Amino acid sequence: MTKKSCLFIIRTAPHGTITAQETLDVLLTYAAFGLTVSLIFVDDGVFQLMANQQTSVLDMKNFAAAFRALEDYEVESVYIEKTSLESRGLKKEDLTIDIEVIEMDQLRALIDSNDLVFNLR
Amino acid sequence: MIFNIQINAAPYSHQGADTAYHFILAALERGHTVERVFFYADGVLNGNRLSVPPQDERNIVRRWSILAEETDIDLVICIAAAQRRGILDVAEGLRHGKSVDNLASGFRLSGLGQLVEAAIESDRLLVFNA
Repeated sequence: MTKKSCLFIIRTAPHGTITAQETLDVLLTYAAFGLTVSLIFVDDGVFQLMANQQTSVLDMKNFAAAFRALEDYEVESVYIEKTSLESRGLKKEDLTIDIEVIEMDQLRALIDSNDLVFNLR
Repeated sequence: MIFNIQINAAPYSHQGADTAYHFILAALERGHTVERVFFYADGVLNGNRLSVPPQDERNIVRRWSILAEETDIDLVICIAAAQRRGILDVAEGLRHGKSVDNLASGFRLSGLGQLVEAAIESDRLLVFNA
C-alpha cells in the first residue's frame, strides 16, 4: 500500500466549537502513523491562529498554543488562505505562528493532490 | 471496493448517520466491502444505548447494533470523543467511578489509530458530517 496523504481543513473560529481541537487530534494521529499530512486554515478558521488570545475569561484553554506544537511533530505543510485572512482584517503579523499564505487556486490544487480530505463540521 | 466510513454527526440532530447507514446497505448490496465504521466527534452519540426515540421513529442506535450482528462490520467509537460526551463501556464506567455504562451492543471503544487504519486499508474513506 502506497503512503497516503491527507489534507486537514479548519474553517471555524476558536472556542465556539470543538472542531479545531478534534481536527488537530486526528491530524497528529495520522502524522504519528507516518501519513503525509497538510493543514490549512480557511474562512473563520484563520481566527484560530490569532496571537494573544485571552481565553481564561471564557474558562477555555488557549488552544492556539497547540498549533505551535505542529513544528515539534514535524508537520511542515501548514497554510492559511489569503482572502480569508484579508477579508477579516488580519495580517500575517497578527498570527501566533509563521505560516505560508496561499491563494484559493492553490487550495484547490491541494484538495486535488491529496488522497484524503478531512473537513470536520 | 473497500469502503470505510467515518461518521461525525449526532443521530437525529443531523442526517449524517442516516445517510451513512443507507450508503452502507447499498454498498453491501452491490457486492462492495465495508470493514469499519468509525464514529468521531458528536458521531459517538450513535452508540448511546440509553437513547429512547418514540416508537414510531427509526431507532438509529439499535439499527447499528443489528447491522453489527448481521454483518462483520467493525463499529468503533473514538474513546476520547466518547468520554467528553458521556459514552462509556463497562470498563470505562468502572475506571472513572461512574455507576453506569451506556455503550450499545456491537460497538467498541478505541483510539484514533483505528481511524487511520480504516483510512489506509480502504479504497475510499467516506466521511459523513453534520
